[in-house]
Amino acid sequence: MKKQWIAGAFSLTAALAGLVSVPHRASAWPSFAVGYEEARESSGKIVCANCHLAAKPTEIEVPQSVLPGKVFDLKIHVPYDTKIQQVGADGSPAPMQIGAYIQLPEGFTVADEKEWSAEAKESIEKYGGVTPLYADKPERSNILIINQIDGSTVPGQEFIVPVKAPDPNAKDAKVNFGKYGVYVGANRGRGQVYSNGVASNNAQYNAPVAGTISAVQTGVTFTDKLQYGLGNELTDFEYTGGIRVTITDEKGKATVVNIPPGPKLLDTVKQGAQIKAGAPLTNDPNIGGYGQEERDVVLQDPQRVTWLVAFLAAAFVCQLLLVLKKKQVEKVQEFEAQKQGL
Amino acid sequence: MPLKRPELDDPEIRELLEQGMGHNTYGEPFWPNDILIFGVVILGTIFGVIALAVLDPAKMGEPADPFNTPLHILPEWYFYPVFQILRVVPNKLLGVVLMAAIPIGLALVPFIENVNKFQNPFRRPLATAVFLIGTVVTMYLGIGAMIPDIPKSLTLGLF
Repeated sequence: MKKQWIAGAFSLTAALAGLVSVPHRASAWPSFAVGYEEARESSGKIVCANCHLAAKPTEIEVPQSVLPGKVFDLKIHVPYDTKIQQVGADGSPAPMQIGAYIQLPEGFTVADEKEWSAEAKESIEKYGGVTPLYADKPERSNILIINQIDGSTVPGQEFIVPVKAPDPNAKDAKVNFGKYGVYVGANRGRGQVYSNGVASNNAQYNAPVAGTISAVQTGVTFTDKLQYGLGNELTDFEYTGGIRVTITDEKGKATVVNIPPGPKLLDTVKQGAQIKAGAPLTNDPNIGGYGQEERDVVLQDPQRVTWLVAFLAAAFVCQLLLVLKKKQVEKVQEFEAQKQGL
Repeated sequence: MPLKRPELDDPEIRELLEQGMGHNTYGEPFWPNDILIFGVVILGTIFGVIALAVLDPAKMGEPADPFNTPLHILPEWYFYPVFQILRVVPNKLLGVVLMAAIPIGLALVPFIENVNKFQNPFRRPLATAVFLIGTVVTMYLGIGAMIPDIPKSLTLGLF
């Protein structure tokens, strides 16, 4: 009973935090994550997966270890077929866009421009750079986003982010040497759900009830209330050229499904056809997807490596002396065996 | 090669034994010969552990959240192979039976080839085969447990 109370209190606080958080006008998807207090949940899930339901691979590359104060390149590869086009918000074909969410270990930041490697500089010129997700919280400048950009303009669909490691030996340093996780989520294409739970026109539409399809109208204009990111006001969006399917159940109650332009109606969905609850009405227009990946990076103390090498040398000398001693003992044993005529 | 019961009065085996095959013939005095090599091995082991601890330290875990289940739940590492059996087998009862079969199978190993007079693993083909196949299967299952997607965990993503 007590446990339930605690759980209830927690979810209530979480819900309140969501309501109270400062509304943030965001252009599009990676920045939607700002509505969440923790864009990477304690389960390890990055909240992008709430709206981008299809799974697609994401590859990242970081060095095994870095020295304090040094700059290294984080490479994020977002593979997809560059020949295909996705469904735009108005239903017309649009270029595939890619973007990413990056959570560096605490204390790690984007390097200053003069420290960028030539490779990173070239890549950043193409994709436009990274921005902190929580712009109003400088202490969380380790959480970054790459805003969505036409994927064909990014060579090899690879973002290179120059990252500067913190120095734990600095006076006011809050980090320690050790191993830390780098978490990256990368997206290609539009999402399937808006922040308020309304399906986008990049999703498959299903029959909400079982019954007979009594009407199929095309070229319908209707308005949906969409939310672009948590904490934002709902916005009216008018779809033109949509499809309206009316399903009448056994009791004669009619249910209307408004399908925005984008998904194609299935051939079996015709006036008079029987349909089961949950059966698809349209195809799945989505060709994109989301994937997240994590890699470990060691923030290495150069002094420890020096002492390690010194220890290796000492241990090796000890081993060498022991082997030499054994060889000497063996010679003595051989000599004594000969003396005894063995 | 036909399988035959190894016997000490088999002339073929006696000939091999006389050549020093199948027996430990490289005995050395414990003091001081073996002790000196112990030092070499102990130093090498300590060095390996320290080098790993410095160059690839253990990661500090994330704070636990009792209200959130991780995306991919895993037991302690030594339970990975058994966990994979439970995960892959469609029937829960069958999974439990297979789990119980592991300690039973291990207890049977010394009895499987008990007619054999030899202790050398090369002269105990059945026991050695059980050991080798068991090791490979255990590693295969253990690696598979770390792959969240079940069909992929069966092929280890290789095919």
